[in-house]
Order: sequence, then structure tokens, then C-alpha cells
Amino acid sequence: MTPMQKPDTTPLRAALVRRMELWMAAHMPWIWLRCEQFQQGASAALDGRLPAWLRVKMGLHRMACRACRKQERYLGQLRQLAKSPLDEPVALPPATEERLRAALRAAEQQRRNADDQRLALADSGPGDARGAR
Amino acid sequence: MAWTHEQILAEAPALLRYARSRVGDEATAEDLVQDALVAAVLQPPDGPEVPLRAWLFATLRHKVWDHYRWKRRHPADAAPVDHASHEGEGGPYGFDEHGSWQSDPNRGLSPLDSADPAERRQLRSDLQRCLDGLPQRLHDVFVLRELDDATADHVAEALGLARESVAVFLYRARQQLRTCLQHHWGAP
Repeated sequence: MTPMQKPDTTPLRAALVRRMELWMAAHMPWIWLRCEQFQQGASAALDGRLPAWLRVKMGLHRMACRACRKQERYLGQLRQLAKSPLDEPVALPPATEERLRAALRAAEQQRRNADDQRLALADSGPGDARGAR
Repeated sequence: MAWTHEQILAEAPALLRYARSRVGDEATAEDLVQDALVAAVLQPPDGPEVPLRAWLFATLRHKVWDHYRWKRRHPADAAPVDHASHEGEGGPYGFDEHGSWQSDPNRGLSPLDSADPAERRQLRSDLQRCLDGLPQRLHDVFVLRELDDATADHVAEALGLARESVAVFLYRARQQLRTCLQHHWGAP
């Protein structure tokens, strides 16, 4: 937690809060999360439901730590931003376009050959079968 | 259903952009796009009125996943990992030895939910650059989870990782992206 950076926090109060945090983290680790642990939990919460005990601890930390609250929101925003489409124009380099055209032509030829083979088999198949009988 | 080559090629730029954002490697992205375009010629869907763009994107998405699975099976053949960029992977991300923030992590951090379209475009573009700069493993995990909406279990399966490792990699990726965006937007 960074009470020193809070604009509405006096240095004395920040120092007191900081000492309290360190004391809580040292003596009551079962109920108090450090900021790093909170951030790990906030990240994990984006990927699945957390155990109840961890959610309670995170709730306590969230209430007390403004920096972590904002960081948690930021993680959510990061996810939304990542999902938004990248709006950069992409032009195909001429060499790439030519390569793709060639690949499509080759695929077209391959498909035609396969179709011809299928037709030939369909034409000859029943006749062969009749001949065999 | 048969599409013309021109129709198929018209979708190539958007497909290439998608592939680049997923694999972060130009040559591989082009190969995957080519595979998807060729599939549109060789195995077009049977049903009538299938939208070309949606079909191509779905196909490309499968190709991207196949690529990740291939990388998992052939780690030596995959693109070399930038070891230098791994140095920061286990870094403290701004925490001191007690696990508290060393300084205000929100200083210089621009909100990512800007309503201004131009700013949002810029942010997305910056995020992409940061994403491309991530260590390969972090990049892959983040892309599959966040861009492709895969569950953490699917990501673990595709990349051959333990479920717990996926959570750790995601945490590291998110922290590194935050730090990177902070630098992009002029934070000290």
C-alpha cells in the first residue's frame, strides 16, 4: 500500500497506516494480505472463482488500500482493451499478396484435380462393378 | 459454396492483422493466413450463405490453436525465446521486500477505458506493442486467455502447462503490460 502517495493523506497518517500494515502482515497473516498477494488474487479472480477465505481477505484489503483498488480496476480495463479490435490498417505487402495469390491458384488446381479424379472414379466404378458380376 | 479468389484475398489484410496479434511473428502469421485462405478453396463449407469473413476467421482461429499445439510438441523448432526479456519475468513489479508497493503504482497510469476513440485506438496500439515485447511464454498465455477467450484449463492444455503455472504466467503478463503501458504514457 502506498499511503505516502495519496494526495489527501498527511505524512503522519501515512506513516501510522504503514506501520499498522506491516504489523498486520507480520502478526495476522491469516487475515491480512500484502499488496503483492492482493494483486495475485486480483489477477486470479479474472480467470476463475476464488476460495471464500481469499475473497474475504481481499475484501478487507480492498477497503483499506486505494492503490490496490485502482490497480484491480486497471486489470479489468486491461482485459477490455485487449479484447477490443486492433484498429491499425494493414496493407498486404506486394510480395505477400503475390504469394497468397499463387497459393490460391495452386489450391484451385488441386481441387479441380481432386474433382476430376472423383468424377472419373464415379464413372468407372459402377461399370467395373457390373463387369465383375 | 465457392468463393472467388478476389473475395478471399479481400479478407487477407484483416486476417493478417488478427494472426499477427496472436502469434507476434510476421512469417508465422503469413503462413497461418495462407493456410486459412487455401482451406477456403479446398474445403469450403457445404451450407449456403455462409459468411466468408466469419468462416475465414473461425478457420484461422483453429490454425492459430494448432500452431500453439505444434509449438508445444516441437519446442526446439519454435521461434527462439528471447532470454534477455525473461529477466524481468520474475521481477517484483514495483513491490518492496514486504510485498507492499514501493511507490504509487497508479502514478502516470492512464485509464484504459477512455471514451475518446482516438485515444482508445492509441492505447490499443500501445498495448499491442507491449504485448509483442513480452517473453514468448507470457505472450502466448495472455493471448490465448484474453484475446481468444480460452479458459485457463484450455490454455494449460494447449501450451502443456500446469493450471497453476497459467495463473502465474497470467499474473506476470498483466503486471508487465501494466509497467510497459506506464512507460509508454510517460510515467517516470
